[in-house]
Amino acid sequence: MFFKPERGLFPPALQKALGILPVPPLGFALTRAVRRLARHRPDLFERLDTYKRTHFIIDPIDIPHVFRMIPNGEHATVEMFKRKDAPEGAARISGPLIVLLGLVDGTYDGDAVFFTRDLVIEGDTDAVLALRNTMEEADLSPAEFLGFNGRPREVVDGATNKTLDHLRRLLDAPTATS
Amino acid sequence: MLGQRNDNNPSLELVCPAGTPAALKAAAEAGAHSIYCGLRNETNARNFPGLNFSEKELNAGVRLAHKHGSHVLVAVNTFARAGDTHIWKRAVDAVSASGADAIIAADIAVLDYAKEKHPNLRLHLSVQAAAATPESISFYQDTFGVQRVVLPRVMSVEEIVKLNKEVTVETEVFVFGGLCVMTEGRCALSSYATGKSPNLTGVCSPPGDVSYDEDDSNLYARLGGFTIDGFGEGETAGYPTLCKGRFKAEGETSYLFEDPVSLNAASLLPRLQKAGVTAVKIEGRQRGKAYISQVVKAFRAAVDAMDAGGNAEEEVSAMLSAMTEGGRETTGAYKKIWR
Ligand code: SF4
Repeated sequence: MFFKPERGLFPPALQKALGILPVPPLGFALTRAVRRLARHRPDLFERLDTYKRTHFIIDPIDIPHVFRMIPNGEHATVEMFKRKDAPEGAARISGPLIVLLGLVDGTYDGDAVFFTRDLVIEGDTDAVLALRNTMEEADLSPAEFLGFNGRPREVVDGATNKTLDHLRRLLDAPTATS
Repeated sequence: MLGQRNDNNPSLELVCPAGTPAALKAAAEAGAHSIYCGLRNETNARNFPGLNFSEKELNAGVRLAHKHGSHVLVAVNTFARAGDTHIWKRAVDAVSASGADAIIAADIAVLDYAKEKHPNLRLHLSVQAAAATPESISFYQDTFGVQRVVLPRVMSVEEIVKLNKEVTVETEVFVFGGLCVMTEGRCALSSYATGKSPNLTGVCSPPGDVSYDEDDSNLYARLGGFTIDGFGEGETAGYPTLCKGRFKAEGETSYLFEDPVSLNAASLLPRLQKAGVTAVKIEGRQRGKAYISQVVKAFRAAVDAMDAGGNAEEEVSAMLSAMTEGGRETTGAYKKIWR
């Protein structure tokens, strides 16, 4: 073993390497995914109510970038910033990337990882709670979020779940809550 | 049919929470006999952001639950505000239109409206009404035709046995989840710190007034600017519910009102059944579907085992203890004299 895994954090060498690489156009792809979701599941954005205009800062603490998400239905945006250029948001959600991904696909219960302090919440707690409850209702699989359907969805989900499961064990991430 | 428990059918009815349509589906699939939920506004006492049902979602939820053989009980259990009663009236109308099996209410104005406008709608008295004596329960029964009362979480099993002998309505008691330590409906602690309380705005210690601040390695949980608890490095954090904070009094820091533990009365199910209780209720409309599914399955196994003349106490208690707040649990007031 080259490093001592710690509650899901990427090893320092990998964190450094990611800082040198150019920023991939992830924001663009994520914006499209959220807007597509808004077209297919408008109920989710109704559930967010006024909080759909909140500026959420999603901070995967073990990579050099942060995201700003404004989940405003079909006008939603997700932008990616270098951490040093990160804007202030109304609410900030920080944690290891593997934990944040586990929140999206339902591997982790938001309350549980918050109470074990694997997840840190700052700012507008109401907005974060609205987002958490909306994601709970959404029940999204990774492939569904990215717009895959039918057989390809099953294949992508199967592969993603396997990889994430493996990564969680490798990085000694918190135990799944579901 | 709801409330059909009698000598020939002694089975306990399992009443389970749903804060979202996804949780309702999880509860129905896990075997809940009844599922309780609320509309997404201040008419229900769990008015948290992103939680609860639109009228459309309620209609669909009732259909789905009925398909699984589960009943739906809808909480319209806050107290109507003078000048704004239309919100509560509309909620009662919506519950009736949805085909739900009962409405859970506390306010006499809401109960009266339901009785007058929707005489066929079954009425359950919410725990928020804090009715715990034969006299108060009979008043709600005689005046509004209430068929079931949800008892406050401060009664011992002995008190429930005695009460059930003196009333003819069905009784429902909490057996699992968060513990509200005051006689429900009569706690104003949260109002002092935030201006909001369960009976008026549907939230205790509302998340919008919560902040978590880190200093060195300590994490402080605050409510309305007041520090409710602090957690050292590695210590599991908690939500700053006012009655479960650590405060300094007479030179000593302690959980002044109540320890932050969860209720787990699974081991008391046989005694509650013997006490004449009709239904047992799981708290937690704010909890996720994975949690709901696991807790409902565990309790359903326990109730089924009892029906078959067996006893699944130990397995069920073990299944559930991992799901309580910080793994710490209590049988609440059922086994103790209230302090
Ligand atoms: S402060 Fe505690 S006792 Fe009072 S309403 Fe809230 S949970 Fe119940």
